[in-house]
Amino acid sequence: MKKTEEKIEEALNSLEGIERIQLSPLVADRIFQKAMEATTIEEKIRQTATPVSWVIGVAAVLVLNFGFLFWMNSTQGSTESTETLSGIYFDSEIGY
Amino acid sequence: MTESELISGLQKKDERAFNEAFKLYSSMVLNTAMGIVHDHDEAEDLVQEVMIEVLKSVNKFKGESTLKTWIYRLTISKSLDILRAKKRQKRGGLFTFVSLKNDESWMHKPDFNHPGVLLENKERAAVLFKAIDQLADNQKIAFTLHKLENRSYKEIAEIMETSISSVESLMHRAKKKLQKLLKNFYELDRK
Repeated sequence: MKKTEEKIEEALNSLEGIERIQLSPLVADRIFQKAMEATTIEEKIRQTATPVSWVIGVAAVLVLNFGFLFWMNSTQGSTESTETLSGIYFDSEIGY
Repeated sequence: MTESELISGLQKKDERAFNEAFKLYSSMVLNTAMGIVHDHDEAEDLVQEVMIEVLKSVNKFKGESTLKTWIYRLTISKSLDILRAKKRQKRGGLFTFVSLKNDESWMHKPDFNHPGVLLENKERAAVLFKAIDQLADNQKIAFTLHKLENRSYKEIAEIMETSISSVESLMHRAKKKLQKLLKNFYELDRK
């Protein structure tokens, strides 16, 4: 029966002469094709992303702008009708 | 193709350059990854991930190291990401508390049979790989690069962006830790 120290030494040396693993040609080809496809798709996404993000950005600004104008218009409309009512009361006071 | 031509070709996403890089480095990536993650299928997946990353990030490559060194670093980084993801998954398990307290749990993990190990060493190597799994990341990387990739301490220092004396220290600590783990394993085995 081997001593523990011998077994430890043998275990530590068990990687001596280890052979390098190669990818099989089929697996290598599959990985190569997938890697090429992945980078092509990412390249295309990056190329289209810039104009698309510009369009979205401009659209958002326009929507906010029109929304603000609409809100302003609706607020001004209610203020004018309040002024007209005040005018009627004023005129009737002068009448007396 | 010289290295600068290769880098230039990769930056232009030239298929011929990528083919050349693949031939030169895929085996290196596979063996390094396998030495760290201890799983053949995951190592193959890592080859794909690393080669994609090479194409994506080659424009950021500043040439401060060789292309080979840079690819080693990518491989190590992605391999460690896999290991960390696995550890996070294990921590979520029901019996994690019990297994963390049990110092012998590593001995009962499934064997990793590296296809390149000589037949007469298979059993001993399987135990050694389990013990290597218990090393700190830096020790694991240094040990793997030295024993599996046959890198010199100087090359390892360049890959790990550290000094040769730090690599010597890492190797020394790795061996001490492995001896301790293996001693526990073989003494328990005798009982």
